[in-house]
Amino acid sequence: MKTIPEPQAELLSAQDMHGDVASLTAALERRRAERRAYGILARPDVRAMLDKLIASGACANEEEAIERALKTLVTAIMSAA
Amino acid sequence: MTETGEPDKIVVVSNTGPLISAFQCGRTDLLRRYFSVIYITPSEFAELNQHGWAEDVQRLISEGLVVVVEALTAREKEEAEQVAQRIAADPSSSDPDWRSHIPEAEAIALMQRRSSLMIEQILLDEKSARRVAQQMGLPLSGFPGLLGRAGLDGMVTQAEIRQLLKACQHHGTRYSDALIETAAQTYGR
Repeated sequence: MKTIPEPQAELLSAQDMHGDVASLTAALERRRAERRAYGILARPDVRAMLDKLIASGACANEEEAIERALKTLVTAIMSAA
Repeated sequence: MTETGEPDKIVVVSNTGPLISAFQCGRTDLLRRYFSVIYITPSEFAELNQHGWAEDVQRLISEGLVVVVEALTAREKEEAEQVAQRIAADPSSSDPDWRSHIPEAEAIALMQRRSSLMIEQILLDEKSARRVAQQMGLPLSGFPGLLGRAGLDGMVTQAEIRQLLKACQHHGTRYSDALIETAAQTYGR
């Protein structure tokens, strides 16, 4: 015989469910972003470039190097267009 | 999706309710789709066995989706007792005996205490336990939310969401008619 524990327990509302969908979606998106970031940062050529930038003192850390690299690229592309 | 076409998945700890709902409506495939590991505590495992779900949960354990964690430490048990007392004292609780809330309280304590497990969410359907988890700042979902996400991803239709939640309701899980209809209308395609 299959039964459920606490059959009289009040369960979540429709409003709660909307929050759950948003929360689950955010967690899955975060996982996706982490996987992508790991995939790029684990590449030896990317690693070498980041290490070089940090060792030169141009950037304090990986986050700054990535942010500045993107800004530089965007500026270069926008200027060329 | 990953490069190999495998969808992104997260690690969760679950109370018995969301697992039982997946068993009741025959959609454990949705658990596999969104979760890489579902941790449960020994007391939850015992509760599932006690209520006749041994075979169902054992199947998920055999395939490595569900993992029963090692017994809680004395410190974790102490914290779980405090959480169980908070759940019992919540106005939405149907049972004032805190000992009845130990399984869900242990799941909450596990998420709080074992950071090495990298648990990202706790699955809870019971209102009182959800309120305590929210007060503690834990990210949570329930089985209807999982179905909602599956609906947005085109894995279940509007009619299927309604039918699946009705199946759970038919087997004794108290999802309200309003919840079922809202889930179908909002997330079904």
